[in-house]
Amino acid sequence: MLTPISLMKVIAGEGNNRSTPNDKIFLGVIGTGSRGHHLAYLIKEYGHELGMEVTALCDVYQPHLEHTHAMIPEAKVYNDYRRMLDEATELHGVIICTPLHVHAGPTIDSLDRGLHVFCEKAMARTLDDTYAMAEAYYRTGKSLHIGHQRLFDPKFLRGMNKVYNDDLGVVTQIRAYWHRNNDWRRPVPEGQPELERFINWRLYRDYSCGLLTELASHHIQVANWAKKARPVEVRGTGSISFWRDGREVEDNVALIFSYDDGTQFIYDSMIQNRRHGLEVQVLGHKGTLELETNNFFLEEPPPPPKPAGIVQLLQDLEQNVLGKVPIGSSSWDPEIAMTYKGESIVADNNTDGTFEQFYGFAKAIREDKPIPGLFEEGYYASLWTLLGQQAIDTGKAVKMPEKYDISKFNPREFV
Amino acid sequence: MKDIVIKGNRIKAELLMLLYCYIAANLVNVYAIIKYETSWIEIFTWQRFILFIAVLFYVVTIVVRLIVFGFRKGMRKT
Repeated sequence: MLTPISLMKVIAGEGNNRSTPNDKIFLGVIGTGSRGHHLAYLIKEYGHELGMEVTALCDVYQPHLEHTHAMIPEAKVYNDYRRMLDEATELHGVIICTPLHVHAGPTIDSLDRGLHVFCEKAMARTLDDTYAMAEAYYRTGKSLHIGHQRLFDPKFLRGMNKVYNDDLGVVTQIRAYWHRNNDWRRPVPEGQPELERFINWRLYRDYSCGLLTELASHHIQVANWAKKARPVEVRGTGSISFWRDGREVEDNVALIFSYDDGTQFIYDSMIQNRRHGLEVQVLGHKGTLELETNNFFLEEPPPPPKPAGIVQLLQDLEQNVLGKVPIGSSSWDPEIAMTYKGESIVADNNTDGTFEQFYGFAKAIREDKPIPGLFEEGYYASLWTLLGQQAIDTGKAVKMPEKYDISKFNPREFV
Repeated sequence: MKDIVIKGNRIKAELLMLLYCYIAANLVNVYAIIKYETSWIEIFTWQRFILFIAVLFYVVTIVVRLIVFGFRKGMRKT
């Protein structure tokens, strides 16, 4: 069972004891676009803490490959991941940051060759590809980390501890939103309009589910994690309401995921207003977590320390002399939000878990086995992301088809 | 210019008045501690504030005495 404590131990370094300085982990990066480049950068800058090194880079798009190769010139470069898997025999693992619709092929081929895989979220564009990746994971016994970095973010880990320790009481609702204000487009090289779909794959249905697979997947994972369960049903709606520029994915979505115990996870996302940014709120009858902003609130806040008696006496006198005299009152007090500022979940909120994921990946590679329960978090988050898209497309409540249930592979690690 | 002479008795009376004010301020503090069930240590920790209250009380007595003095003087003239 995946517990916050076990992941805290991982990011504290447990299980990453290098036997010698030569005990290195060699990685290949497949897909060197913005995310792949960033992860390669993190490993280049900080990977030495874990003995990690990028020795191979692969991309079909030469400008991206050259950009990342300029940063890591010692790495070998490839245009075909199969050739990389054949030739780069030193590799212990691969990082897959290709567009969503081409996650499954490299992942399954890498697992089949005995490599450990870190694959960016969401897992795949289709339910069948997602399931095929899961099947390969269980068949090979290698680790398959999905890039839901909140699993390694200290404030989320401590927050989940609060949920599991009953500090929030009974959690019956989770709310999350992710709002941006931009068109989400990447620049297409001048004079090459044929690259539009290739560069802006996030905006087209063949390759992506847009806001759902790129953003919502993270918060669905958090909701499942908080509930230690997966939803039973999702309803949703969505539209292209602002950026009517030829894109095929919604720029405005709203979903409700229902859990077996009656809990509702309410999610919305849009890219035409960023006033509220992003947040995930876990609401219990005793307290509330606002995980993205590192806050915890009690329903009954501890009373503030009482001022000295003499101060209270003067305050009372002031109130009696200068206070307003009520001549009538409303029968109802507006239930406006509490002004109580709550407390921080962690004192130092200086990471989002992106690099800390590699502590887990390094541990899995060194021990040559997955971290129990971790893959299932990524699988069900990815699966329910795609089911959310189905709910939007059909306008109906959608349940998970039985055949995608992976508890048959490993019932003990069932989320 | 005429010198103003403050006699010893007057100084003694004013110091006594200040002492009464200080005692009164402390009594108010004790009352507040009992009423609001706060810590008895406030008798010591809030002494600076009590001194301020005592001075405030003393200023009030001066104002009251000036008013009474003015009133009496006015009565005598009439």
